[in-house]
Amino acid sequence: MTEVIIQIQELTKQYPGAKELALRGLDLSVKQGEFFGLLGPNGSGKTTTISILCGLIQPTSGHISVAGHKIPGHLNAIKPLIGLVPQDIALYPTLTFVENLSFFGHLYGLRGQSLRQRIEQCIEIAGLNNFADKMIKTYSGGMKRRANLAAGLLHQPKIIFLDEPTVNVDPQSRNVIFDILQNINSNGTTIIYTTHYLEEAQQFCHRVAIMDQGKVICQDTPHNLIKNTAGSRDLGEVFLNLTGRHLRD
Amino acid sequence: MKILAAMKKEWLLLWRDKIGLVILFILPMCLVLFISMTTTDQAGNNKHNHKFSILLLDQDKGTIAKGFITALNKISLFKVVTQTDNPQALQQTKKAVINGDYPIAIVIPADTTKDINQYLQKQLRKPNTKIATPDPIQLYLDPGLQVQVKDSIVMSLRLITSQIETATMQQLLGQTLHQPNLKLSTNFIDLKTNYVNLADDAKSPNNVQYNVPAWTLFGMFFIVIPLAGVMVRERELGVYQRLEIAPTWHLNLMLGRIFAFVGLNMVQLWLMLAVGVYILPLFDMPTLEVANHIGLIFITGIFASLAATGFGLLIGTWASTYEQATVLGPFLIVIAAAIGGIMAPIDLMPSLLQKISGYSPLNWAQTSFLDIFVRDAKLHQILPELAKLFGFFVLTLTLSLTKFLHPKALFNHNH
Repeated sequence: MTEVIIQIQELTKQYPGAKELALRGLDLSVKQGEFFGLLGPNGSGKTTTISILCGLIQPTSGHISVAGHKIPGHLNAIKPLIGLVPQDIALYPTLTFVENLSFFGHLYGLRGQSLRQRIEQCIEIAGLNNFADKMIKTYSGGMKRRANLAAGLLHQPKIIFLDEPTVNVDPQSRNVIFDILQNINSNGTTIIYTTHYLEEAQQFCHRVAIMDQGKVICQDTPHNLIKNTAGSRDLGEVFLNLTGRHLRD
Repeated sequence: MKILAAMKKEWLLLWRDKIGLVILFILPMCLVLFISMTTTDQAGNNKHNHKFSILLLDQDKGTIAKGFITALNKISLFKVVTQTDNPQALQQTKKAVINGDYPIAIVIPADTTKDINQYLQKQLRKPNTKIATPDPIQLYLDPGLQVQVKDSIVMSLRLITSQIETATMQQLLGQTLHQPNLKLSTNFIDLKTNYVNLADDAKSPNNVQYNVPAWTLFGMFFIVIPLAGVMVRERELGVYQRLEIAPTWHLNLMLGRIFAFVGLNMVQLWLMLAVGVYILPLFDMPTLEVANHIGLIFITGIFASLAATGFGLLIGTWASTYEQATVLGPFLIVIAAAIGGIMAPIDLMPSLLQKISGYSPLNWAQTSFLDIFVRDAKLHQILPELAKLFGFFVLTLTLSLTKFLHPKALFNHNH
């Protein structure tokens, strides 16, 4: 876990028409194989950061390197290496899980036997063996979340970005999701994960970065952050002590 | 392979959307069927025996009135109902129209025959002098009667009065010349209609040859609804993000979508034309003649489909919400169809609209279909219209790709 796979320096982002910067000189580094938590209140810039790293939006300024490739210049080289699990269920509701996986698999250049194998593995990972041929719209909330996650793993990305993957998920499905994530992480996949569930981050993340107002205000292991933040017994208290208790809407 | 996968995905999405399928296939077929059935045969053959009820009050009871009624009864379009004459007959007749019992009533005033004969005799005695004309035959009309229908009825009645005038004058001339059986031939200045076409073998076209291709095109352009709907839903669902980060060209996804919808559009085209070939004849309507034109219909269909699909992509990429896409698209199609001559002949439009109509893709496609169906055109003769349709497709595709590459909002930026 020594090689830096994501390096961000002085990243800024201003949306067209916006007066304020969404990101204000963000610095961040993620090592290969890390389970990395990106935490912060609403509007802190977590999703903007992930969107830039995935090439979905352009940065205003700054230097970004993902797996040794510069963004936005070498996006085509980066795309096969990354996976995204958006907060929304990014699957076609009227297609079955298999049909969704088959379509997205083709977009990643998977064909024939290798595609079939990956589809079977993803079905297994998501624990949806008995539902793979059912339309996504018939799934429960937890099943949809697991399917959404497995679809992001279909092409075996080196880095996976997860945007609040456990929102509105029942404890059983949450447990399965973290089993999946720990499993792929143990196989070397780097995980960048945003969440508002700080106990999850404390339990699973090797390191976390806490963002506020478009900047990283601290990054370290959960243990060190708790130890070094006065009056904090857990990551939740660290978060509130550093970002304040006022509402962020 | 990526294009094929995208095509398959589009077809599956549509197949699972049963309402979308109805919009795509059943509604356009119904449209073609009902529009064709509600328009009368252009040759004026009243094959369906539709009768137009007319209430007639004869207060004259003379030879002019009898001649008028006889001529009126000979017109198969009219069903003449006689109002019994009584002191309240005129009021009863008007009331019948006001109540909506009859759309039109005719009142032949008392002494019409006498007055007309006197009028003509005065004219003979003192030619070139101004003489007061007899009281007119009165028509009472329901204001709800369509102007075109009213004009058509009045024209028929005007023809009858002209015939009666001629007959009366002939009779009077015979009396003056002491030849009571004088018969002069009438209608000796005839009108003969000759259709000429590009192949110089034109047959008399019927409304089916005009209506079915025109309304088929109208139906084809409604592919905008499912196409734009799928695209907006992709953005709303977040699937778009997964597509955006996949290592594939946007053009691949667009091409998959284009091929899928052009294919569907072509199925639509042949189904709607099949209505003209197989279903309309079951209702005693003329058959749509396609046998000699299949190749050119196919080619025009492809280009019209490309234009319709391009338009759908444009709406799908530029509309922010599903509601916008599904309202804006059809609204623009109806306007394009109206100015493009699908709903009313361009020749009858104001000059400004006639100029604008030349910019409607539906007009280009319809012109091409008219060239094929009623003018027996060859490929080189429809090439200008095909080029315009293809140009429209390229333009809309380019604008769509521009927007596709720079989407306005992919995320809620609140995290």
